[in-house]
Amino acid sequence: MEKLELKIERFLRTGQGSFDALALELFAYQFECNTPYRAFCEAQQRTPSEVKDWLEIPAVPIQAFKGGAPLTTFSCERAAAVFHSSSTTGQTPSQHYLKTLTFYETALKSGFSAWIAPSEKKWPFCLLVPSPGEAPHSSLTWMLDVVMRQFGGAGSGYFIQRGLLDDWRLSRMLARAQTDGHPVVLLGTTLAFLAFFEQCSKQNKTFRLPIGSRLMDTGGMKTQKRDISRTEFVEQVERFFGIPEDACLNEYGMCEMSSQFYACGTSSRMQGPPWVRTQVIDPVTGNAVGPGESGLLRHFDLANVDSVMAIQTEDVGEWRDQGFVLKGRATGAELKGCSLAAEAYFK
Amino acid sequence: MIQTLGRLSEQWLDSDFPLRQSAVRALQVSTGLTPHQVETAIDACFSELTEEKIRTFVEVEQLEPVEEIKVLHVLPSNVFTAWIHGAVITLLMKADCWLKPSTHEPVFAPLWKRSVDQLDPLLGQRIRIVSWTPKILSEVETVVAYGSDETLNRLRQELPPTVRMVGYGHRFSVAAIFKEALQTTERASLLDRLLADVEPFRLQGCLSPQVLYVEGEIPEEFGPLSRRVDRMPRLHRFETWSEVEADLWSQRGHLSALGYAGPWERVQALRPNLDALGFSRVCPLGEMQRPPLAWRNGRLSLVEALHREPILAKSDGNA
Repeated sequence: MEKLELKIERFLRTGQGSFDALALELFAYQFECNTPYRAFCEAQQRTPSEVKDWLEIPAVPIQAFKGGAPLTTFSCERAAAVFHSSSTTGQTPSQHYLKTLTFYETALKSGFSAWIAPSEKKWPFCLLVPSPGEAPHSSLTWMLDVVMRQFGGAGSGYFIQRGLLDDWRLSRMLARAQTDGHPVVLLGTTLAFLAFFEQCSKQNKTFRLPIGSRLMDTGGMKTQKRDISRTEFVEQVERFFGIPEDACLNEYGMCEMSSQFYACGTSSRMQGPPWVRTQVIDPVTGNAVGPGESGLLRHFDLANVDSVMAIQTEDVGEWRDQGFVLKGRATGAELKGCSLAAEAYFK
Repeated sequence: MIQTLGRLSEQWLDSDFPLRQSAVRALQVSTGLTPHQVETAIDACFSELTEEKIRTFVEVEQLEPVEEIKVLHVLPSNVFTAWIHGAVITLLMKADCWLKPSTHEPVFAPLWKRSVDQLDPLLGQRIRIVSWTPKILSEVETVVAYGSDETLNRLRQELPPTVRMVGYGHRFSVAAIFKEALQTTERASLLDRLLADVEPFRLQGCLSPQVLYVEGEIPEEFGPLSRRVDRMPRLHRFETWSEVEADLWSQRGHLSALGYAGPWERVQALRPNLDALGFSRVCPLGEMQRPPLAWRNGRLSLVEALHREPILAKSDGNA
């Protein structure tokens, strides 16, 4: 019988495979080899012999990655990488141990090539995140470093150093691309782009980047000053970079997952690869909600081979046309705790 | 039954009890707490449910059974033991106890039921772990729910008029150290007592002190606190109690417990003020996570609520 890892890797490379069968097989493997996850499943009496449908696979809450025993099928001393989530003051960051980067990188490259880099040509990548040297455990930095090495052309580099956006160097690079007529690919956090737009606005500066240029942003749209809509952001991309809506992509990912979701232009509908499925769960009933209703996103990611494939997030979303619309982070105490109310009072 | 429930607690307090060991492993996943934090919480919970303490509770409350009713408990995720007292009271009142685990913490309730099944299968038959169905609210006589105000309001709206609702919403707690505690031998134990209140639920429970008020100067030994816990309460110093009151006044109605260190007489003198702020529990520092069975969570008696007419039984407590 073919090894599970090989079957999953082929699915990630080709997009061809039986999700249902592989999910059950992967659940059995993780139940067998991931001791804390096994305890979690056994407590609910949901074992591989009981679970007959991928929808019944127990999903671990995000909290499981924030403490307690590491969720791995292997000894974490043997981890090839540990991804940490970003966290605000007082929050405990998640830690995701990866036995190998094969599945993560294969899933990433497949999704990225389909959404962001469909062309064979390699253009310079401008990364608006810290380099791996500055943020060695950031899954976002790692992700962008992988795609830069795979898909980026000469002149690619990082434009955030010691926490500061190097807007002077970025401006020079964009001006040169404009003059030379070579497209560039801009990748980074939404907040970093907004900070750059603010600088451009102050200096009354805009760029008309060559056709073929693309932008991918990730992270929230909430700034310290105000929330901006996706449409406003895309308009700013057009205004300051000259990049059209259909070349502006939004990415949603989390350090606890190995795969990513993308949305194009002003559309807020996130779509994942075929090896990931998502449910929207009513936080009170625990049941899946219908189309048009909001709930908590629960992802089943086959690329999470050596941790846990089924993850119950605290992100609120709404199911729409084989995808979902992200609506933010749940704030209710049914998720976090009654102390949240206090945080609001004492901040 | 009192004997059985007391015996059950003895088992859960025994670190060799297999179901406790399973719980410690599984709860690390569902809560993200460390084994130490999980064990501390289990100990705090079941040490208040000994046979002697349950017997005293039954006698003081003069419990009368409310047979033939079913009570649905919609469980919280943040404090995995918060519902146990309510479940025990439900059983003591001879009602059937239905438990709907939370989406995020689905493991402790089934393990607890399993422990009851093993000890007393007949009693175990009165406990059901349930999933949500469209009809579930009309199948019970009372719903006890924990969660955000939004969640509780939604449940109330879906509730048939004949069903009682007891809702435990958002609240938080604070601690206060009076200057006398800093001037005596009591000072040496303060840090450990504070940690006992801070650690169990990573400061996420309604009995976790979010703010520590210190009369006079904040002791230097509190500096290293942040190295011992991943979340710590905010530290505020005060000169007079009126400063604390002013700080908390806008939160009255959302306050749960006050843990204190210092002379009991000073706390007694402040009783009317504490009542006005809405504290439902005042206890020594280090005891905040060990509420007795008789604690009126949110100033609400579940015993009284179960006896009331459905339409009157509405409350906001805490979780």
